[in-house]
Order: sequence, then C-alpha cells, then structure tokens
Amino acid sequence: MRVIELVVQQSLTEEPLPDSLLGTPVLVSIPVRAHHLIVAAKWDVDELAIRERYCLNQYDSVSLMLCPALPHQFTHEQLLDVFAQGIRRLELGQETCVFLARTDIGLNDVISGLACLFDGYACGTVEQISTDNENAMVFKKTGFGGRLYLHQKVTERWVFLTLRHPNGPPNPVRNGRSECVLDRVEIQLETFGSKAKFLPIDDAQTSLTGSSVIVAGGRGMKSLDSFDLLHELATEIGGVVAASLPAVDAGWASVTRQVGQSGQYVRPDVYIAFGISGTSQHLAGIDPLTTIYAVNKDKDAHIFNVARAGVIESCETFLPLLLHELKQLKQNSQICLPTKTKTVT
Amino acid sequence: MRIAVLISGVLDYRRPIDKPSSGNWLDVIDSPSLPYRLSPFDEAALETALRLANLGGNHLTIITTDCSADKALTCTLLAYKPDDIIRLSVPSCLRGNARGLVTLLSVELEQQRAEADLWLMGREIGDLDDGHLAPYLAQCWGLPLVSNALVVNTQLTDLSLQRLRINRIEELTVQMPVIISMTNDRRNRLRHPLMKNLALAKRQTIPLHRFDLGSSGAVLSKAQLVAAEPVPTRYDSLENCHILQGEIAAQAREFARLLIDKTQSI
Repeated sequence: MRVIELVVQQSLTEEPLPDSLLGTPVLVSIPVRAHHLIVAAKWDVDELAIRERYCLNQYDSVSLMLCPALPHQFTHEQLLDVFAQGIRRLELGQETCVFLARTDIGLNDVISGLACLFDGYACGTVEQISTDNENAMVFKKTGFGGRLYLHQKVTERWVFLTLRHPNGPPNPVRNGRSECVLDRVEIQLETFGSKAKFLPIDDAQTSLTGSSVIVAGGRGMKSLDSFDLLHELATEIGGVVAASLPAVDAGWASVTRQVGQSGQYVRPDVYIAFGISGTSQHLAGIDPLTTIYAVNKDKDAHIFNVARAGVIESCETFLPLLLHELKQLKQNSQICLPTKTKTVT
Repeated sequence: MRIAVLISGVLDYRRPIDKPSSGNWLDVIDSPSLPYRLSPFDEAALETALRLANLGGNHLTIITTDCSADKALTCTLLAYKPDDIIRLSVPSCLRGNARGLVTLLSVELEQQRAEADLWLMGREIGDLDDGHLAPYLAQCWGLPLVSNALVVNTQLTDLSLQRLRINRIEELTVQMPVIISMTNDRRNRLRHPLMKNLALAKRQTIPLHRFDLGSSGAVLSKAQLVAAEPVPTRYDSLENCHILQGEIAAQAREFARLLIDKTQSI
C-alpha cells in the first residue's frame, strides 16, 4: 500500500514548509510500502530545507508543486488542479493507494473532487485506519452528529480521505529507506472566480485547531461587551476564543469561531465554557478527552454533567471578578502563560 | 432561474439514539420510525433557496433524500410552497457512499427531469456525510462548486456570494449552473412556514421514488459499513462536577487558581 499525503504551503514568513502527517498514530498501524508527499507551494523553498524537513529517510518522494504566479492564496479549485498534476506525475499504477490530507475547510472539497476525478472512493473524514484479516482497509469515522462510530470496509484501489485527529508525536527517523526523490515542478494555474475578493478575518491568526486552551462563550454571555472580556481572559491564560451557535447567531463572534455539530471540532486540553448550556449539538464539537470547566447561572444546565468543575453564577458578574483574580495571582507569582498550541506533526 | 435544493435531514439531535432491538447499532441507519429534522445546513440551504425563489420568476424544486420517509418533515417542507417536491428513498447501503449516491442520484433526477441552474444543499448532506458529497457531485456533473457559502445573492445573470475558508472569507461572483453548499450564518436563518400552509400540506400526498440499485451493486459492495457503536459518553466515568462554593469572590479566586494550575501543567 502507498500513502500519498497532500499538504498546502500557507505562508512564507511563518513556516514555508507545512507540517506533514507522517508518523501520526492513524498511519503507523497500517502496512505502508511507500510514503509520498505532494506540497502545493506558492513560494519557492531551498532544496536543502526540503530535504531536512521531509526527506530524512521518511518520505520516498517529495513533490514540490510550485505556483509562483499565484496572486493570492490557493482556491480549492486550483489546489485540485495542482494535486491532480502531482498525482499523475507519481505514476502509481495499479497499487492500492490512500490519499490523505488534514481535515480543513477547502481541503475536504479537494480530496472529494480528486476522488471523483480519479474514480476513487471518497471516504470522508476518518479517525482511524486499520486492516482486517483479509487485508482490506477498515476506516473508523463518526456519524449521526458525532454520536456513533462507524466502521467502513473498503476494497477500492484508490481511497481519498481527510484525517480528523492528525496530531501525534513526531515520527522517528526510519532507517533502511531508499533515498528520497525530490521532484520540483513549476506550474501555471487557471484562476477561478476572477472577481474573487479576499476578506481577511480579524482573528484568523488564532485558529481553534491545535489550541490547547479554548475559552468559549454562549448565549449566556448576553452581549458583545461580555465577549470582549472573554478575549481578555483568553489572553491572560494563553488560550483562544470560541463560541456556540447562539453566540454566533447573535453576532458576538464570527462563524469561524463556532464549535459544535454545525461548527468546528476541537480537541484542546482545557475548554472553559461561559454561558453555554451544553447541548448535545455543542458537545459534539468537543473531543471526549478534553477537560471542561463551566460557568453558568443555571444550576441544572447540562454542561455541569460533563464539566470537571464549575461555577453557578452569571457570566457578567463572574468574568470581571475572575479576570481580577487572575491578574492578582499572576502578579503575585509572576506567572507568564504564553499562547499554547499543540505540537502538530 | 431554476433552483433545486437538496434536503437530507438528520436524525433528531435533541433525542438520544436508542440501541436497536436487534442489538446491532448499524440498524439505526435504516430505522424508518426514527424522527428526522432539518440540520442547520439544510435550513441554511432552504432559506437561501426560498429567498432567491421569492425574487420572482424563479422555479423552486425541493429534493429530499434521507428524510423522505418522515411525513411530518415532508409536510413542513411542503408548507414552504415549493413549485415541486421530489421525495427520493435512499437505500441504507448508499448512505455515506458519495460515489454510489451520486451515481444513482444522477439517474433518478434525470428520470424526474429535475434540472436546475442553481443547486443548493447543506455543507453536510445527512448524518453520514462530512462535507464530501457536494464536491464529489460537482466534479461528477462537471459543475463549479462553491462550498461553505454564507450568503448568496443574484447579480444580473450571475450570483455573488461569500464563502468561508479556514482563515478568511472569500467574496466572489460565479456563473450558473453551479452547485453551492451552504453553511449556517445569521443571514440565512430559516423562516417559519405559515400555519395555514402547514394545514394544507397535511392533505397533500407526494409519491416516494425508490432507487433502483441495479448495476451499481458491484460498486457498492466495495465499500460497506461493517460495524457501529456509540461514541462513549464524554464523562461516563467522571465523578460529579465539582461546583465551587462560598462567596463569589472566593469562587473567582479558586477558579483562577484552577485555571492557572491546569494551563501551566499542559
């Protein structure tokens, strides 16, 4: 079986070479004969840097698909084109292949589009991959709003999927591999939506994905001003701000901040819920291993059934006091809590 | 403009899923008696379709899939007074199988002569889709896809819209025909149907079209659900939540300490 991983370069300044998924727990349990990496890149990167980052006996090949003329970030239509060209260059033949990417808005579209383009199976977002006693691939995923695990057996030659939980320890350098082949291609892309305008989101830099501490607000926050206090709290404890659907509907937070069945799935170490009742739809967006703390004035709120500790009080009253105490404690002990982000391999 | 909106529905998320009497959780997928409701994404797609259809001179078709057997939900949809409604019965083996579903959907919609300039659907179609059906459908039909759209407006012969990406919102103009998958946004919150229309809808009968699996059996057999189990409840083994006591200032101090201890230990 071959694994072909698709990643996208996001920026030149922060990290010109995106994180790869090799070595994630999802992948170490399946017999893989060869690993290939295809990078969609807007900015050129030094060959040595690529070899240091990806090739140290880990990947059998790395394809840098360079699109220097791109006026802005990739659209998913362009990514589909880039990756299709990259896949064709690999000449994979009849071998069983798994094509995967980190689950992400936009990349899900690309993966499914590629599945259709190459007549493969679009498996959706997967949590685990294993093989059964007939060596067929079995994919574990969630369905029914995160309420059921489903195991799907697939005997297709090419399978396309995104990974929901790609975080894991770095993969050790594997010995005994043949030398990594580096393929650098410069390509021209057609543009989609020539009138496209890109509107940056103010808080885009503080992505929910990968954050270890999330401070979330719900309907019980009552106002946009109260949400400002959440941002202050998040700064104090090194977290990022999220919101429930009612808070997004009220216009207190952007839809990119929404956690839950209709929003994002997050897996921080700590999730602090303010004015969130804890509906099953909201909890479906929080990893079961996350520790939840809650503040809600309703003592019967469901959030207290799933929280480790809680305070029964209105957020408007409690938040200013909490901020005051936090500042006092930090001042007294000179604690510094930088923004915490999980290591993503 | 001909508008078609694909509505899948999801099992009522306000109710727990009970273990089927057979003991096999996979049977949940094919339990006709379980109540459905519109997902937030279905609602966003439907509201967008209704708003555009109401601009005048437009034709609206609602196509239901997973929820087709749910009479109450069908009545609700009828109460929105679409020009057409097509109820497709989707076999359980097709649920979550993008290729199988798209193949049969294409055949069935051709038979029903359901054509559209604008295809709208939720960003996820039903309980077993995680956003992969719409792009597969678009690629298969050779139509442009705009996914995770927040709002759609007409602009002469084109559509102007905003779509959500992980770190930005893109504003663009697209030509029809096009497939658009909607995500929830405060601008597309679903209106309530009129009570008189609901009463009228209860008297209507809409035929249910069953898919003919036919030659697609071979394709389907290459991907099948083999097992299912409930996701463990988050805190099945958790002790009761520790509710802080005492004066509110003291609670704030204890909570602050708790947060600092916890965040420092990460």
